[in-house]
Amino acid sequence: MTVEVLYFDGCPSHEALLPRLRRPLAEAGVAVEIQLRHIESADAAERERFLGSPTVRIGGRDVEPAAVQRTDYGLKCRLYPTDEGLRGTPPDVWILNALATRVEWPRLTPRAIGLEQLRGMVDGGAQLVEVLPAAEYEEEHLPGALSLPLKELDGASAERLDRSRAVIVYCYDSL
Amino acid sequence: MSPRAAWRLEALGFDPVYDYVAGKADWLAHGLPGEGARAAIPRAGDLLDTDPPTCAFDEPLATAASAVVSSRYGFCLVVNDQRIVLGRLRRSALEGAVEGAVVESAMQPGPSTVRPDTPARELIDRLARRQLNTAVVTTPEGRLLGVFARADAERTPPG
Repeated sequence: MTVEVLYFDGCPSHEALLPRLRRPLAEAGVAVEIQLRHIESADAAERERFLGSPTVRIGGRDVEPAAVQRTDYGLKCRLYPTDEGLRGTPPDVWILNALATRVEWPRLTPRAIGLEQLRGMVDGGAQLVEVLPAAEYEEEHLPGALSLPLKELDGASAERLDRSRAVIVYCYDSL
Repeated sequence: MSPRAAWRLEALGFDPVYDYVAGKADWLAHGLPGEGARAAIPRAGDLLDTDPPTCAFDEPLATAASAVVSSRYGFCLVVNDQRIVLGRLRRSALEGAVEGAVVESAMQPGPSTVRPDTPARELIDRLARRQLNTAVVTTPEGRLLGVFARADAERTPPG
């Protein structure tokens, strides 16, 4: 993901913007370098679809939701509508929303699914794997499940699985 | 246990890997079939009356009364549109009911329920010890699956 700030020398608003951009990124633990891009001419403004200084793009998209409909490119100071009236920098909420939709957050848990998703995925060819001890598997397991006890799970035992199909693991319950 | 297994498989290069968090207990508690040595044991879900009398939460008591009076169990189960069990309306609750009252005002809220994977023999014995005739059987989410009648189950002795 890229965070770009496009600006031109005639407008100082981007200097005030940079600390505001860095704070939410740091709080989110997102290590991204902000790229400053100097727009030098009217031709460059047209080419870069520069709507004024400062312009903030996250993941290549302008943080202003309506920017995609605008074509008034040029070397000028950009004003943003906020709850407090027109301001020289985009509202925080636009930045945060853009971050929320562009950032690929690190996953903290495995991909969790429920019963209905499981049934649909098994119908679609996913393989079920019970990771409880073998004795518990022998007592009762889900139809078609393979036994791959966690304590025995390694590269060799996992070779029983088909790498071309999704895998669904389960144990007894969520506790 | 399964989250660790999911991470382990991901580390071994499998993709995608999913974790059915609620696990085997959830599957069986929905009355779904299992495989293995215990799979043949009769469960409560195998011996259900799946069409017991039901009534609606906001139904006038007067209209629900006929279902209760004709019920072989002496009650109707109060369910919502998703068949979630909200209460039980007993025959005795109809006596002295105020005119215009709705089911909610007379029902016993939150009746005890059991899951369909409870072994039938175990449930028969439990009901007998407590001198109860029936058990309401639902999914873990509370969706009505049926009524387990002790007398019926004893006539069809589970293994």
